[in-house]
Amino acid sequence: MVDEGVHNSRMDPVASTRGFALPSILLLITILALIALSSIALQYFRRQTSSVAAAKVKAEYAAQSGIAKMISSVSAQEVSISGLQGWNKIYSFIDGSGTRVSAEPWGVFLLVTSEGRFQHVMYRRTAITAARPTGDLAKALVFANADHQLVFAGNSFIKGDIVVGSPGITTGTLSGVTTTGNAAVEGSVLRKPSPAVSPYDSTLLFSELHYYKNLLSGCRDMDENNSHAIVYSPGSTFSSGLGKIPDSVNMVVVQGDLVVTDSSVRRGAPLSVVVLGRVFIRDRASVAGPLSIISSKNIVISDAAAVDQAILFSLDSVQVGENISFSAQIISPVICVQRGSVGRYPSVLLSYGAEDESRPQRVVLNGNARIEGAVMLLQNGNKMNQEDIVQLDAAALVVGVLYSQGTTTLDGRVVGTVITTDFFFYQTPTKYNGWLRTGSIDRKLLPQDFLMPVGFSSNPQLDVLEWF
Amino acid sequence: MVLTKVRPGESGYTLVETAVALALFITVLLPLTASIVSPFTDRRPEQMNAALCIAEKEMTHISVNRTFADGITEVADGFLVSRSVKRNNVGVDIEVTVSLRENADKPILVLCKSIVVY
Repeated sequence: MVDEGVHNSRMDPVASTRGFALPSILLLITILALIALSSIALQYFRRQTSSVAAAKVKAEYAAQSGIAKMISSVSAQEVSISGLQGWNKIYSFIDGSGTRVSAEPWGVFLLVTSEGRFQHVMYRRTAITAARPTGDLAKALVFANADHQLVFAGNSFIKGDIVVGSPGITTGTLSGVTTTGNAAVEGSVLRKPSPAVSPYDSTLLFSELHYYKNLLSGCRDMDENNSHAIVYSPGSTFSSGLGKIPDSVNMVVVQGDLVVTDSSVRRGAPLSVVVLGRVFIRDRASVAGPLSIISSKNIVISDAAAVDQAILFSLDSVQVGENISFSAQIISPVICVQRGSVGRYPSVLLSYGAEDESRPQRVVLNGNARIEGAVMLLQNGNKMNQEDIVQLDAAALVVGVLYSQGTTTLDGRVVGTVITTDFFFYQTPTKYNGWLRTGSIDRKLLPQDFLMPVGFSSNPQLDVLEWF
Repeated sequence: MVLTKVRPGESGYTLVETAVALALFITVLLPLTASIVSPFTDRRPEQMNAALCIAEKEMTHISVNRTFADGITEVADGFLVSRSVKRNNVGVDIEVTVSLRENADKPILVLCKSIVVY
């Protein structure tokens, strides 16, 4: 016999016959609501994606525009080059974007950083700016010796306009040097009673060099617990990759020698490496990016090393070995580049005069060394040493500007402009002033868009030299 | 075999329940349907992307070819491109606006860029 209760629970197909329309509808609505939510989310993300894409473009344009605005302000004489120390300005644009622009010296150029913003998107652009050649830089030669003739010997020649003193120009003969007899100057010759080396506004440059010197003296007492810099203790030799330093660190202090043996590439914000000792950039090692290596002693770049975009500053001297390809600004009282080495555009060799130093300044290009950019010798205002000299061997080449507030031995070739106090060489037993024996200057071959250091005018026509 | 057993008070769902269910369904269904369908009918993201492409192309064209003149051009898909150029010394401020032909007063996108021209 079957119990009735058990029978009912097993056999009755519907335990409860109450309706289930409401739960069904609620379930359906829940499902539909979920679908709708997904749909709304999809729609939101699609709109967000397209607006973010537009915002990125606006922020990038704002960043680029900021650099253009700064260049435009300098050209319009709203701000002078010397007034750019610590300069920063905010620009707003009609599309709702804006940018904050700041400028600081970068060797003989200007480093301009622009942070474009639109809504929550930020885009940073950094550029090195330089000056278009105007004024005396459009000439082939400014020869500022008012007492001597400019004498052409051998096959020396100049293509372009020149400025000389009242004595003018002539040709001469030297023993052992064959004179071709061709016209020495292809261009106009302007005689001035008191020709002068074009002034170079070094306010920004010297403030930067002063900062470097302060770093060198200030970092002596820095300890390893410093929060602003990575410090390597006294006497140590630091040889690991500078490229591994994180972007958040903007200074490394080495209280010893620095030996670079690997590829040290900096991609982010500028990094200053202060070395209280010597710097060796070894064979096949490379240093690249916005790096300033500041050394209290000498810097030696070994054969086949590579340097790109960096600034190398030494209180003592910089030796560039043979067959080195670099693109850098090298700043030191004494600079020597060996044969086969090429300083690619925009490279700068700058010899500066220290106030407390009497030893001669020198820039020497040996053999077939080549510099594309600028070779400069700036004397300190209080010190006029006639032994300060820029020397180009017969096979050496400078493309750009050769500017010397001292004298120049020009046996090599310059494609561009030479501005010098005097030419000089010694051939036993005579010292020759104002003579060119094998040197040549060709201003006409220099490309029109070639950019120069910024100090030759207080309101130069700036242009972007390189984007970082 | 027992097929049914009618019990008191178990006569299926009531009319009130049905009415509430239907009301809920209709009240919620329409907005839900609209929400579900809207991503497939909303053309604003596509329009913004297309406008961005057009504006960037126009900006590049002006910068490269140095065509510094104001003007309005009609391009494909019913877009209007309006450009405004102001020169100030060596600085050139370019403004490119993209809108739809049928709604020319309401721009989809405005791009601004300054360049230097010597």
